[in-house]
Amino acid sequence: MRTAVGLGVLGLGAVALAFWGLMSAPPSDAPAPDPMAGLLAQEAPGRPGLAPGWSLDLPADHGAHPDAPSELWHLSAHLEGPDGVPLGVQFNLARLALAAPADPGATPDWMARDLFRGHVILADPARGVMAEERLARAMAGVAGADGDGLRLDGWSLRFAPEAWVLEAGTGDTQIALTLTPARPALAADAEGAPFHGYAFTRMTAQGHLRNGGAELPVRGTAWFEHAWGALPIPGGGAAVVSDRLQLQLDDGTDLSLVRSRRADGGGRATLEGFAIDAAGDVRAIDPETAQVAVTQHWDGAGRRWPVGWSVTLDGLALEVTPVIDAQAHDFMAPLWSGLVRAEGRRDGQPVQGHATLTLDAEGLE
Amino acid sequence: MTRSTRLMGMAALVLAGGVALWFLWPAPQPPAPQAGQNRSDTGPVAAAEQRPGDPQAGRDALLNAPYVSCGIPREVWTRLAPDTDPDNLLPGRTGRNADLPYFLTSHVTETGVEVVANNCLTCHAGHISGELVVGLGNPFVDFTQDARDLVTQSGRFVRGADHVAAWQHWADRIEGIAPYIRTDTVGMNPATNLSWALMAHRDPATMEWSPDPLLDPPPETPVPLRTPPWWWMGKKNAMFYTTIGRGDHARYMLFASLLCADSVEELHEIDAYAADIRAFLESIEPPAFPWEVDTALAAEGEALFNTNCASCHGTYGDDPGYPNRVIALDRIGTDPMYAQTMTDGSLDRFYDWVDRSSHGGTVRAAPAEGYIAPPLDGIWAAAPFLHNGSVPSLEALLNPRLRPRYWMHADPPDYDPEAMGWRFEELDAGKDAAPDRATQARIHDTTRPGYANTGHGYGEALSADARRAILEYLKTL
Repeated sequence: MRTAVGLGVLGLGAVALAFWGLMSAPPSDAPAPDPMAGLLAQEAPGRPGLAPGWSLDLPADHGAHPDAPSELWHLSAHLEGPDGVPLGVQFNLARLALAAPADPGATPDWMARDLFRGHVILADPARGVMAEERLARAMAGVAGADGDGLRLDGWSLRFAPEAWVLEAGTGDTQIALTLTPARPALAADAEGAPFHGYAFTRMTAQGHLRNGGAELPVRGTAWFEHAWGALPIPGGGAAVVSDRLQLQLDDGTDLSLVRSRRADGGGRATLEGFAIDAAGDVRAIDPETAQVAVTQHWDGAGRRWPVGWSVTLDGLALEVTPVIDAQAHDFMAPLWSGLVRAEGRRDGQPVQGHATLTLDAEGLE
Repeated sequence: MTRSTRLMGMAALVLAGGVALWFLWPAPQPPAPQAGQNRSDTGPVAAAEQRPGDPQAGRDALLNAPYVSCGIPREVWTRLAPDTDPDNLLPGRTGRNADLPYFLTSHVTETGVEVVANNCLTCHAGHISGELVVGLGNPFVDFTQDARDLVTQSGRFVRGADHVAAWQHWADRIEGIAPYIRTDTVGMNPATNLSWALMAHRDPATMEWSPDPLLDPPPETPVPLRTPPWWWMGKKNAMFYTTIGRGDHARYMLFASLLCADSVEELHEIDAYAADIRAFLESIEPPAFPWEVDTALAAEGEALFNTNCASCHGTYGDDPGYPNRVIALDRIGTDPMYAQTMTDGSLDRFYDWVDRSSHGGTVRAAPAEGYIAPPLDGIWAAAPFLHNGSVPSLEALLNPRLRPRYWMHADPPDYDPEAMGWRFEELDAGKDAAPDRATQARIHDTTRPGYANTGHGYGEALSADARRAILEYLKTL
């Protein structure tokens, strides 16, 4: 059974953060046209956009949707080792259409028709934060996405029927995870939305972290989402940027919160999101009653990052704090993204969990 | 919510529709305020001379001219809403407007950025009996969302220095007015409160925008108001329910200018065709009742109408007349909140703003403590009724026992030609019992302040047959 949510609940909010930029932001006073503006033009060559009447079809929808000008996949895992030490893992892949797709049956050519950009982040309190960003044009065996899996060089996420398998890493550190959905897919199929997508907000995850010769068993939960269409792509000087919290609580609650703010510092931040309770019921958060207050900053990588949040909604009060302060990444679109812990109360009862918090660098001091 | 309604709602938040903005033109010497000049008596409203205009040119300007000059970059709109519902295309739209929905107008800024902004038709057009009717007060316009959410949603797609700057110009205005234009019921129009909020942010002499209010802003909650049809304007000697709009009606309609224009010069450009727009509005014929009418019964109803209703609402047919009468609150008995807040002194600083603006004297804000009895041309299409839209049908208006205390429109909207109003579902409880915010926004709760469905009980003394005959006659107007 699927549950549909509307634009702005899963949709815009989720992708805004998951789809990290492919280009650096131009200087704000640059007289030259923004390169992203042309690259992200609505009329991507030979990419007609979304057809109406879509409904989720898995595993086919795991793969790329060539009609869509942009697309992203994002996996976050909140794990722990045998000693209870937390470990955060992220694998992110984005596709950007550059030219019309090749005609079906045409002889393969070398033309760059789609660009893939990805990153892997491993947040390990014992070993520190390891992150790597990669870029490649679509090419069989090198970079691509289909119903069988995602690939970018040696990184892969395979959608095998019995369990998904993630293999990724950086340097001497490699993660291998087996992932099984613990909750049905949540489809973002609102009619008229500028993109489609879905999320598995809770998967069970287990595997190994290999570092040199050492191998550490890990287990926990993961969150996967995939969206395609006309996506707001961070980087490139967007007028509004978004910060994202993907939270999994021990009581079975999954919570997605997007806090959006103007890059020029003006106006008022807005909140969007959804919560799925232990029974699987989905509801949009009420921006009238939900509150996020920044409770902690980390000064580093040239910015003042709002890394600690106090979250209040519907009987739930949580303090979100970083497991590691220094989780800023100097990707093409700089960001702070990493593992955070959440502790608090729901209706008076203690509750805790882990989350991935992602902060856009734009608009920060 | 259907897609078109949602997009309409989003668009509606770009800028509230084109009603009620009194606005003054620069004059060399503003007249000194006079005692009592910001109030009107109940009773007859005197005529005021109007500038002549060309209705055809006015229609073209209304549908195509950039009287709202700030908005969302078109590229972003297209991204959010790539397809225009054919039902929302309007003949007579030209150039860049030809393929936009009727409620949006395109404008290329001085820096070359094409933006789209809501035009007057956002609130002043709507679908009824399968037709898109210009001049119909949109009964389903949705201002119940926080306008700042649209700032965020659109800004995510804006990039490039010029586009960002154009978006910021619009976004700053929306941030300034958003707290004051959020209604709690779909179909209610916050234009009056929007007017006050804009005045609070603008210097009346220069029109310069101030990020911080220069006057105490209005209360955050708009008084519930239903948008009346434009085709009544030609008969009314003053604008709006309390007849606050006195003087040059064309200049009252420059709503959009107060949102976006930052100079007197830009307003002058718009004023050059404002009289044409007014002339077009006054030329609009109401849509004919599209279902069958029992002409014999209607003839009976006409006699009853002329005896019981015409002294306030006028006569129609071969001997037309309209008395332009404001009925005092204690006599009409409809919800008093609007007229009271307009006349209790709490908004006088805005009437003074009008006087201090550089053309104070050509228009004047002078409400009466009552409501004007409207003309009834095309009344069948003007549902729901009373100034606060609290009564869903004419049948219920004429028979107060049928007025629902709690109700919501059928979804999708469906017109009931027998009851002469929108089909509705009567509810057992009001907004407080709604399961969620979206449902709450759809509920007309007549126990809430400003939403009372009392008053205008004149039909109560009539027999059921007499009411039926009058209803039949009203179909012919």
